[in-house]
Amino acid sequence: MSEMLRLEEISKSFPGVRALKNVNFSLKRGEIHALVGENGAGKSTLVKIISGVYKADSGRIFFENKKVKIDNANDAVFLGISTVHQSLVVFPDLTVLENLFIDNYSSSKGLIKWKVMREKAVHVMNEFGIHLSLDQEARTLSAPAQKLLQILRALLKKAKVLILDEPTAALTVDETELLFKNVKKLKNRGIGVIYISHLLEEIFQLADKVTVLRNGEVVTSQPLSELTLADIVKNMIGKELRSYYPKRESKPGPVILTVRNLRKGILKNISLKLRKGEILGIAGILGAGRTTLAKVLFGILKPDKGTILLNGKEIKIKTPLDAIDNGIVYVPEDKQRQGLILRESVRFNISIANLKTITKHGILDLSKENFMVNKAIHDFEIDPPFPGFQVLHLSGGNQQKVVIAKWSVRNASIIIMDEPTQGIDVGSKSQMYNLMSMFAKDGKAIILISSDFNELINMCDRIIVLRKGMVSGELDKSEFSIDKVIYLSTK
Amino acid sequence: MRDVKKIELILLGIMVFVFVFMSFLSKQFLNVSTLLQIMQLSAELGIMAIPMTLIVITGGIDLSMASTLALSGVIMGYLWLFGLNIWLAAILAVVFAGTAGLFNAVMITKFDIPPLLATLGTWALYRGMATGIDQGRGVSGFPQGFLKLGEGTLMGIPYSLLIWATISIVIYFIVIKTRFGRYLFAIGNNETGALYSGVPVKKIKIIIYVLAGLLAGLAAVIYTSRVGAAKSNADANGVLGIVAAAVLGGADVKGGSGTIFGTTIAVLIIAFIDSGLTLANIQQTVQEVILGIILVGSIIFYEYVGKSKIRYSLTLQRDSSEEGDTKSSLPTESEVNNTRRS
Ligand SMILES: Nc1ncnc2c1ncn2[C@@H]1O[C@H](COP(=O)(O)OP(=O)(O)OP(=O)(O)O)[C@@H](O)[C@H]1O
Ligand SMILES: [Mg+2]
Repeated sequence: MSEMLRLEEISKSFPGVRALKNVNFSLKRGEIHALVGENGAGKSTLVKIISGVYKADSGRIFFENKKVKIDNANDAVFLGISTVHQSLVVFPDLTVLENLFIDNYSSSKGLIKWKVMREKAVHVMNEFGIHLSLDQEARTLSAPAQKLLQILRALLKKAKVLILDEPTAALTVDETELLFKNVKKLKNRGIGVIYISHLLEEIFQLADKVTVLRNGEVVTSQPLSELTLADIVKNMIGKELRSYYPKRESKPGPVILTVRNLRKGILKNISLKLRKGEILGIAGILGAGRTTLAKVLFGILKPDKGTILLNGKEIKIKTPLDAIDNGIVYVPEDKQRQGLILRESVRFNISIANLKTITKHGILDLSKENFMVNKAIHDFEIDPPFPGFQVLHLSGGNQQKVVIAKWSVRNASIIIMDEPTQGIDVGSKSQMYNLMSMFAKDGKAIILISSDFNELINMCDRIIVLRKGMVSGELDKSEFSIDKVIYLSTK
Repeated sequence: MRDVKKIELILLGIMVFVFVFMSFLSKQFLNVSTLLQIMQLSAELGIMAIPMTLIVITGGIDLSMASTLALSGVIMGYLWLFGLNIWLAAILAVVFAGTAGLFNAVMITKFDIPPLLATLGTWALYRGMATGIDQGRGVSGFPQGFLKLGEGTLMGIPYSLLIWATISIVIYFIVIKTRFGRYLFAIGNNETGALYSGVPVKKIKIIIYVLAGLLAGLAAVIYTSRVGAAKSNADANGVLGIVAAAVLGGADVKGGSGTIFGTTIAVLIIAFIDSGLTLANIQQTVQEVILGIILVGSIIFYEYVGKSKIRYSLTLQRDSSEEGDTKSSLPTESEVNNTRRS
C-alpha cells in the first residue's frame, strides 16, 4: 500500500496551550487509521491542520509523496482531502440540498444548476444508503440527521482522503452501522480514512492502525492487531483504568415525577414515573421521540395534551425557567448550540445558569462567582483550567463538561441528560458515571437518554424504550439485556 | 467578542483628539459654557443611545425611537393644549412612549418579527401618527416652569445633562454588575443557548424595548422643553445619530458586545464634531454626511481592530466559514477513479 498522507514534526500552539508537539503521522491508501486520545489531546487540532482550518506553526505535510502547503480549506479540498468536522456545521435556514452543495455549487454561466445537484445528491444518497429529504430545512433535522447531512456533504466530494472527527458521537446505532459499512466500502476503493472516536469498540471494528495522542504528542502508532483495548486506554490516559462503570446500589425512593398521557408532535400518549434516587434510562432509535420528551419536560416545547406532576402536585412548565425553578434541568443533545454560549468564557457559561445563586437583589457577587466557577472547573477537571477561556476553543469533551458542570452547581432534583457522554474520553466518561451515581445517591432523579445501550444497561435502574413516540416496553434491572433493548426499539 | 476595555480607551483617545482639533477650528469651543451647551444639546441623543446600546447587545435594533420621541412630544403638547397640567401631560407622554415600546416588544417577542422590520414599521407608523395629529401646526407657548427643564441649570450644570448623566451611570452599573446585564450578553451571543440556560429571553427583550420607549418619551419631554415647542418633525433624522452613537461606542450589531461608557463617549464625540463644525460655519448637510461616515467607518474599524487584536476571533471567523470558503476546485470524478485503479 502506498502512502497517501504524511505529516512530519507538526507543532501547533495556541495562546497558553501547546496543542501539538512534533507530531508524525502517516496514512496509507485504503487504510483506516484511528486517532485516539483524551479530550484536549489535540486530535481535532491535527485534523484542522490537515484540512486547512489552522496552519501549523512548524512541520511539513506530504501528500502522495509530494510536499504540499495547505493554507486554507480550499487547498485541502483541492488535494482531495474531505473532512467531517467534530462540530456540527450546517446552515439551519437552508434546505438539505442547499446545505449539501453549500461549498460546491454546480453552476453554468453563473446560474446554479439545481437539477444537476439534485441528481448528484440522489445518486450519492443511494450509493451510500443515507436518505434525507432534500427539501427539508436543515433546522428541522434532528442532531443525528444533521450529522448525516454533514457526512453526505463530505462524501459528495469524492475525496482521496476522508477525515471523520467523532462522526458517531451524534449518531444512533443504526446510522453508526450504516456509516461503518460505508467507511469500509470507501476503504476498499482505496480511500484513506482518518477516524476519530472515543468509543474504542468502534476502533476495534474498523481500524487498521491506531495512533494515540496524549497532551499533543504521539505516544504510539501501531497496527491494531498488535494492541489490546487495555493497551490503548493505558496509552491514552497514562495509567490503567480499573473499573469503568461504578458499582451502584439502587435504592429508588418515592415517586418525584409523574407524566400522564403526554402528547406532542411525534409523542403519542406517553406516561411514566420517575423516582427519587433513580436513574431512568430512555432508549430508542432516531425519531423515537426521546429528545421531544426531554424538551417538553424542560419547557422548550409546549405539550398538546397531558399532565406533569411533581411530588404529586400538578405543575405547568411553560419555559425552561419554570422547569429550572421546579428543580428540573436539562443537558441538551446539541451541546454547542443549546448548551453553550460559545463566544463567552467558561466563567460566563457556568454562571449564566446559576445567576440567582450568586446575585443579591440582582447584583452580582463576583467573589462568589469566582468561587463557584473555580470549584466547577476543579471538580470536572476542565482543561485548560482558566475561567476566562473562551468555550469555543475548548476541546469537544471539555465543552461537554462545561454543560454538565453548569447544572451540577445547582441543586436540581431532576436531571435530564440527553446523550451526556457523547464525545467524551474514557477517563471523563467514567468520571461522568461516578457523578451520575453520586447524584442518584444524593436522592436526585436522573433521566438518561442514550444511544449507548451498554451505558444504559450498566447505569440505569430501569429502562423505558420508546418507539415512534410510544412506550414500547419497560425493563427492570433484572431483565436488562442489549438484545431486549434493541428488540423493543425496533420490533 | 470585542475587547471592551480597549474600545473604551480608543474612544477616549478619539474624543480628546476631536476636542483638541475642534478647539483649533473654532476659538469659542474652549469655553466652559459653550461646552456645557454642546452637551446639553446632545442630552436627548445621549439618553436614547443608552437603551439602543442594550438592544444592540442582544442582537436587536430599534429604529423607531426618534419617531416615538416626536409622537409622544406631540401628544404631550396636545394634552396640555386641551387643558391638562403640563407635568401631568409630560408623565402621560412618557407612559405613552413606553406603550409604543411595548408594541415593538410584542411584535418582536410574540410574533417573532425581526426587530429591524418591526421597528422600521413603527418608525414610519409613529412618525405618521405624529404628523396626523399635529398636521404641521405644532404646539408652543408652554409655561415658564416647564421650559426651565430644558434650559435651567443646577449649580451651572443643565438639568438635562444631569438627567442624562444619572441614567448613564445607573445603566452602566446595571450592565456590568447585575444579572440583567449578563442576560443581555447571553441573548446577544446565543439566544437558544441562553433560553436553555434558563434566561428569561422574552421578558428581557420586553424590558429593553419598553425602556427604549420610556426613555424616548423622556427625551421628548426634554426636547420639547428645550425647543419650546412640540412638533411632529422633531428629531427628524434622530435614528441615524442614535444608531451611530451605539455602533461607534463599540456595540456590535451582530449582538453580544457593547458598552454604555463607550456609547456615552461616542455621543460626546459626535456632539463635538457637530457643534465644532457649526461653530466653524460648516454646512448642516456636511454634518449628516459625517454621521454616515462615522456609522459605516466604525463598523469597519471594529471588525478590523477586532480581528487583528484578539487572535481568537480570527479562528472564530475561520471556523464558521471553513466550509463556506471552499469553492468548486475539487478533484474530478475521473481523478479519483484513477487513484482507485492504481
Ligand atoms: N482555537 C483555539 N484557541 C485556543 N486553544 C485551542 C484552540 N483550539 C484548540 N485549543 C486547545 O488545544 C488543545 C487540543 O484541542 P483539540 O480540540 O485538538 O482536542 P481533541 O483531542 O480534539 O479533544 P476532544 O476529544 O475533546 O474533541 C485543547 O487544550 C484546546 O483547549
Ligand atoms: Mg476533538
